[in-house]
Amino acid sequence: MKKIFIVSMLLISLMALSTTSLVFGNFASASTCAANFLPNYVAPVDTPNEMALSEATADYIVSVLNSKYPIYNPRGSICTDTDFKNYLGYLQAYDNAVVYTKGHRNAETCPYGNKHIGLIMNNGATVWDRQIYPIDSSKNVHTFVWHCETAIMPPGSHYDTDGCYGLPAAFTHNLNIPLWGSTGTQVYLGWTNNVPPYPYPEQRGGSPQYEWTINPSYNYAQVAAFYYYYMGQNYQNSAALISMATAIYGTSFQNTYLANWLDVYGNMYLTLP
Amino acid sequence: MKKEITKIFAPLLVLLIATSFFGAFSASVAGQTAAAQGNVPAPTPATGTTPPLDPSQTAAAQEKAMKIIKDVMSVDLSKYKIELKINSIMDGSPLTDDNRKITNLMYALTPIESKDENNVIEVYFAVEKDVVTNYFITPVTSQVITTTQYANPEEVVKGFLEKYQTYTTIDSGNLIATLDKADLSKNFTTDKENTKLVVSNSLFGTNEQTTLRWTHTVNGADYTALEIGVNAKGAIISVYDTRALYSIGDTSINISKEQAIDVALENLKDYSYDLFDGVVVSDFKVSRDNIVATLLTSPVDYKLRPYWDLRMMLDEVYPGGVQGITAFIWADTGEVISYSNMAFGGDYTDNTNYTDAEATSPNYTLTAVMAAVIVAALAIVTIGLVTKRKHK
Repeated sequence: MKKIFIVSMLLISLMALSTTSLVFGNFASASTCAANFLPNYVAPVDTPNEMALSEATADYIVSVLNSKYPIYNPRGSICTDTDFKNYLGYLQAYDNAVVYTKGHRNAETCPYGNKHIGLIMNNGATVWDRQIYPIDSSKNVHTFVWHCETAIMPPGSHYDTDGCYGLPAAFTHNLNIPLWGSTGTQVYLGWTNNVPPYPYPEQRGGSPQYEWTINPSYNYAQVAAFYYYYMGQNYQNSAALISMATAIYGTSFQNTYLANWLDVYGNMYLTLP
Repeated sequence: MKKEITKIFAPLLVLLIATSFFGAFSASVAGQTAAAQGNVPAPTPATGTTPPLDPSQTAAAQEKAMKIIKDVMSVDLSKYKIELKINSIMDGSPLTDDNRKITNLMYALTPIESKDENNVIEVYFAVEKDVVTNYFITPVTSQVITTTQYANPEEVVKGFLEKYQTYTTIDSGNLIATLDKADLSKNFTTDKENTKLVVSNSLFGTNEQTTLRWTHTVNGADYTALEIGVNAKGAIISVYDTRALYSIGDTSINISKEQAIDVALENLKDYSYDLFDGVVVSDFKVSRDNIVATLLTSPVDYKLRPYWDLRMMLDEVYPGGVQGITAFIWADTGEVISYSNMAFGGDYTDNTNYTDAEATSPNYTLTAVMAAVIVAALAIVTIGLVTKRKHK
């Protein structure tokens, strides 16, 4: 009889302990943390003008995001490959993560024939998609990677023996994240190779540098800034893109060069958390 | 009796202990990325959002927006609850020193007979200088329930233009005339006097959309415009209109395309940019055949002025990833507006020195550990039960 009593008490205690987290867990308001990365790997690719614009744009984006969330803001020498991975990891302690990063990319084809894209950090080291995937999770609800070719992700499994390939899948930890989707809890923006059609001296693609002017009034830094202005006003992602396009280009998004160049994966109708 | 109770409770006990273990373990792993590395830096605390704008400050814009919802969009007001959700003023464009002041509004149209959040349609408005310059709805595949119905997209557009003409009091006769015998499923350009219509079918993401853009065209340059977007359901989902926003200044084109190219090339000799290490890059080589010149217009104090947009592609990639140089030149005076670098961020070719994957997924590790614990728990229960039966 005594044993039954002890076992029963143990069971009741365990059940009580199990429900404690449900009762006291902070489920009413999800926590969010943001990170703005500016590796500033400048040699030999950024001009002083580009660097100045990058700092100013980062300041603006940080001001928008930091008004809503705590933020990590690693730039320059504190944005090495180790730092980048650490900060991505720190964000996972929150319910939601919001990420912006601007810089350059690296690329390689693995023995399995798949193209991996990586982000070059301040120390010249690359953080590859396959390294980002294990750190990130579905908590990454809003990610904008302003590096070259960051939206290139051919159809397929996006995972081979080597790990995840394709940054949209890596950052969202969603191997099947749809292009311009309308469901889900995550959105990811990046650049393809569908650059404006000019006779370039070399086949190059990817993200425009901020200093490239679009018309007499605006450059690409303002594309980023306008987008974040509208996102900061609780616009849906697609609405922010449409509003940015009309404000800067004077036409609808799909009539600008951004269509098919700046791609959206995941739910295009999401707002910032 | 004792044995029966033990039989029932023993597996439960093991499972509960295991479950509690998972909970504690998974919690520690979730925080492991940050905590296990020690000395996790604290993020900069949130500064706090600015207090919401008093709706009375945008009352005039709201009145215009609601008038469009009722009289132009012809929303069936008996079908929706309409709420103002976004109300803000952008006082100066970000990262510029311009003086644009844009009031931004968003109304949520919630169907009265549906409580499904997914059926909410959002209508966004931009109001600049007391003019509604832009409104659009999301999702882009939406179709608002209206009080008016049309037989086909062409009729939808004509119906819109008639209602919109009444709202704006801007004569849309020329615009309507360009739609005679129009087939909106095809891309085409047509004009009527100074009004040019360009119809293009494209994708917004993966969603088909037809765009109709009417421009007031003088001497080959497009000035004010009315642009509408029609989705695959035949619903008008976006309107962009600058006709009441901008005035048209001097439309003279005193600089021809060839002259503009001459000016651009001549001034290119003096153009240079610095590199981070102090090196000055200059002496750009451009073939005349690799220059793309387009006549466009740009607002100056809300007055449109013609300019030449020149994209001069270089003979090779210059330091800084610069593939070309842009030049903007006023088409009336030949004065240079600005030059800039056309550069891309990706300045690296594919790495042939492939490096093996370094990372092992912690999530996979966690999954493996959890699976092992479950198997172990089940094994303990099974062994316990088998042993007891043998003892019987």
